[in-house]
Amino acid sequence: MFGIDKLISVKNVSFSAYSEEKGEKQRFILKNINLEIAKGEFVAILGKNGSGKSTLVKHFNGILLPSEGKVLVNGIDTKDEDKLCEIRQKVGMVFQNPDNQIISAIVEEDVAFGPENLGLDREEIIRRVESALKAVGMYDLRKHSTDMLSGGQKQRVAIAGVFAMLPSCIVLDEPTSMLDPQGRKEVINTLVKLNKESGTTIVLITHNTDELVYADRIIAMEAGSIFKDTSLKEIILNIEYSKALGLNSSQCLDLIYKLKGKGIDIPITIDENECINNLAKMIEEDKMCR
Amino acid sequence: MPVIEAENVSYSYNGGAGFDIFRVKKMNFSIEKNQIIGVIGHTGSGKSTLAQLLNGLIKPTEGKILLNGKNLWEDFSNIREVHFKVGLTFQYPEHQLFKDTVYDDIAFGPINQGLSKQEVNTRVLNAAEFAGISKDILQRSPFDLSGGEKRRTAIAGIIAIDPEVLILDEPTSGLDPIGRREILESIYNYHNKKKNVIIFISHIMEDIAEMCDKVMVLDKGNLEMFDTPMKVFSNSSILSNLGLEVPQITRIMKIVHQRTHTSDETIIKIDDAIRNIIKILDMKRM
Amino acid sequence: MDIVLGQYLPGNSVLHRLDPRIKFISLFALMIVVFSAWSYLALLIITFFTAVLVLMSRIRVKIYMKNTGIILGMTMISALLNLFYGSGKPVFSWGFISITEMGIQNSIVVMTRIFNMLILSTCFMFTTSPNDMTYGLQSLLKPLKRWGVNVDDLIIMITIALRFIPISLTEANKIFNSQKSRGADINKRGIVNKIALFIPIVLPLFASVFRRAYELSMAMECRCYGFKEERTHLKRLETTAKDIFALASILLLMIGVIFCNKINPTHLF
Repeated sequence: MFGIDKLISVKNVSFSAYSEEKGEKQRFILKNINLEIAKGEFVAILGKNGSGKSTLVKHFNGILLPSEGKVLVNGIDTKDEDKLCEIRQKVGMVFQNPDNQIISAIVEEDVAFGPENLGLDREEIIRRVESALKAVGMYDLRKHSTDMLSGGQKQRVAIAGVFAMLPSCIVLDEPTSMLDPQGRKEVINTLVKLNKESGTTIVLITHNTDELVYADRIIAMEAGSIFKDTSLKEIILNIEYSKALGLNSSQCLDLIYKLKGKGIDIPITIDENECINNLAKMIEEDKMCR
Repeated sequence: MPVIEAENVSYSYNGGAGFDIFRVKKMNFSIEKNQIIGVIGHTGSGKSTLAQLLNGLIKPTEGKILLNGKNLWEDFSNIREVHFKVGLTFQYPEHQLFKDTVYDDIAFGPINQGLSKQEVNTRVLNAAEFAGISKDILQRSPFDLSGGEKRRTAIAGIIAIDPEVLILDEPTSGLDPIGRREILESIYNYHNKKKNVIIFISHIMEDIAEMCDKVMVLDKGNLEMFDTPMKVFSNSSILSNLGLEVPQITRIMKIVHQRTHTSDETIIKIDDAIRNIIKILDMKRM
Repeated sequence: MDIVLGQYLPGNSVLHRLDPRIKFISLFALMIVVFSAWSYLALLIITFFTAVLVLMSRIRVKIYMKNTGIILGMTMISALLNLFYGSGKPVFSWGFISITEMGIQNSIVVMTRIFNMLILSTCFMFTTSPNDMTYGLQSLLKPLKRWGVNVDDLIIMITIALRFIPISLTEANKIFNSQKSRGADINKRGIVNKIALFIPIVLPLFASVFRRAYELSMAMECRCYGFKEERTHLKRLETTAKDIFALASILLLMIGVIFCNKINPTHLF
């Protein structure tokens, strides 16, 4: 076996769509993408709307198949139809609108949907539902109606539903963009926990700068290609990048950039506490210098 | 004279089992002209119900709402007139689009107002400009647009009615940052030109702090605070009891001030923070 | 506007806890019993049985009345019309109207039957959650698999419908309100105007339903729906002593009714 820790490898992938009625011939949505994601990584994918990021992640579990090139999940080609179920168990997916991915009206029954589809024993289903609900902190509400939950809770149920399939990787396509700040925090904390405690690989599409703090690696997309595959630091160090990528400006970052503009030098960070420490330190030191 | 006033307004419905469930409870406030009013509150705090009450979609079960001194439900022969005077965009307003072209969809409101073809045309073009819709997409189908363009089309549909008061229920939710910025800028420019009242419901405190003249804080149907953003966000303990936050810059500056014993000013905007930091550094140098 | 789908009232009474399959079978059996009863004594016993069930459901009689009131009233009126039909010795006559003994008997029998049937099915609706109904149905329909009916797909369809009908109704309400806000005139009369009002609501609603359906089907595919021949189930229905007791009491009621019909036909009254 080759590269055992390479969970997903994308090799020379292009994806094109035809839309004949508008007189277009062929439009590339993805152009020659090469990418590898290892087990246990926390990867964030950035990019403006229409940059191809959603299209890219839909290749990770065979929802879309590449027009050219290939995608391997654990060494299995996503074009192998007999293995598709296995691939989808390995790479779970959570979408933007929580209402459109919850199937059952009862929390625990929704989480059981995936395991039921796999034809597992009832005892095994019960075990998996229980551990998935505990992992996202929704076990106490397992008998509740899904309609009564807040957005953040619904999204956590959706994550549990995927987690109950025992995936190696969870891909989330803007899971927080419809949530309020409270719900956002719940979802992100859950993801960090799954990544740290269960070693689940997380691939997160987001626009929110403050959600990037937890990512080991940032993949920035532009016009169907990978524009940067780097660390968070490199992205935020360059004000042009964050503007070009259409990131939600974080006030913390704005403040630092503007202070720099006024000739006040202070380290760049998007971590609120670090920013506070730096500012306080600077003011204190200034006091000493006097 | 205030543009909109609420006198003891409540809205409740029969929750079965003989007791009423209140969505809005005995609210009193008045809104002066040429202001942007922010409305914040947790999900279920009554924000959307308040918006529908002001727009005349639902009738208060108690109390009254006055528009330019006239009771909405008594002095207007037809509640449709109220919809035209107080425009309302719902959350995800692009879900209301249905015409073949962007132009026709924006024209839906003005045509319902019974305007002449020429007036409708002027209204549509003006509204499209305010909402930042370029002329070349006016003849396209609204279903082919990007998320941000759809949202702007829907908002233009309300601006075209030329309301005295414009209520926007979370106009930026679900959009990407670029779309969000464009919408906020459009709203701000529209307000600066029209000098009308805008009621802006949002859960992004940073936007509220930057844009609004006054802020309403709702909780479980009660109006907890109605004051300037500065006053509201200086009460961070009350807000956090209601499950709300202050802008990030307010939080950062508060802790920095406390740690360095330099100031007890509440900072709600980035530019103020810059000025404040420079002032602190300068003072020390002296 | 708050829309409630179904009439399930959550609770923890014995009736709530019965196996939904047994409840389905019981309801069916009770309907047969109700419609086969014609003697007064039998009808009396059935009414007594119904009253016991209502008490056992731990739901206030007032709520039953509120929910069945209108239909009950309407059917009662139509049952009263039975008074004027029927041959035999008139008990009362005034002009061309005459009420016969048989007419009285008929309307009493019809009214009691309808009353019991309504209350029994309401009791079933009140105490059985939509999910339980789905499971009950799923289990009872299982034999159909032999004839190539895909019961699992059918059940998933019902489950999805149960979840999405309320969501779509809320959505329809929102779209209706936003068009009203843009001045769509809901008071105009005439068929052309009504249709003109219909389009701004139905078109966006369809768009929204299709969008949801597309996203949902993708989410289901991601969770491996449709790959395995046989789905398994988390929920298992269990038949316990109380279910056996329920069936036994209905059987007893059946025997009682047949017996009463024999010894106490209506014309002895």
